[in-house]
Amino acid sequence: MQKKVFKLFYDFEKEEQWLSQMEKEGWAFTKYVPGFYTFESCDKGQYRYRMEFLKHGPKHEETKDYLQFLEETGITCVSSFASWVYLRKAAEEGPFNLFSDIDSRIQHNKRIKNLWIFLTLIEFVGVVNNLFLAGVTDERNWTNVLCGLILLPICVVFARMVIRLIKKLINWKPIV
Amino acid sequence: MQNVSVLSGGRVELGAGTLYGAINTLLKKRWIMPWETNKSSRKKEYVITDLGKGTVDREMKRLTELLENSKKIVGGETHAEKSV
Repeated sequence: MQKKVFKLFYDFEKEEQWLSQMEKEGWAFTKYVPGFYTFESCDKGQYRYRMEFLKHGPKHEETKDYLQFLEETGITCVSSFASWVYLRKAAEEGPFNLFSDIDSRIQHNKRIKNLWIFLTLIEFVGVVNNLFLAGVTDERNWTNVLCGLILLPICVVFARMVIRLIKKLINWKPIV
Repeated sequence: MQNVSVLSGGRVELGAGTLYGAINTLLKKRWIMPWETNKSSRKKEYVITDLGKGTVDREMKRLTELLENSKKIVGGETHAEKSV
């Protein structure tokens, strides 16, 4: 049996937890297309899930090499979206953590922080464009105001994500 | 990865992402190099270089010195004098 679930996440760690929770309820995650998660019914608790934001895109040589390396250690790439990969490992093989030292964890979170900075800037440009600039060049219309007002809270949410990641990185900084 | 877990008595569970980064760093520093004898196997194997061996030797000496000095200070064999 198959089912599709619509859900939006901005915290990848919550997403990982949710995928693992679904698996515990007997739904194995198989595919992601923005917003939509496909699940197949499975025996409960077979796999554990992790997500990684890779350095390169899905077609890059290093990505292929890395995924093959993961395969050798019993980790399968279930689905991918841009540079995000959804990975799983059999639960019987023990705990599943991609990173075991603080340096590699910092590197991964820095990449995610930069992604959110980029997304926040795009939203910010959208807000400024719609709320302020639209009225300068031609007559301001309500569509612009509406778009701006919709984008504003999204921009705030994204910016808060950036702040959260920066705080996390500061806490992780080595003492020496 | 299993070996690391056994050696550390289960304390260190080496992450695959961390290991991949470490191997690439070692390759870049030329402390290890790819070992190609098993062409039938897709599994990559590496062998330590002379440069790598030298580095391991130096690092072991450094750690031994660190441990001995720690024992001296904590063990109280010689009391470190406080000088201002």
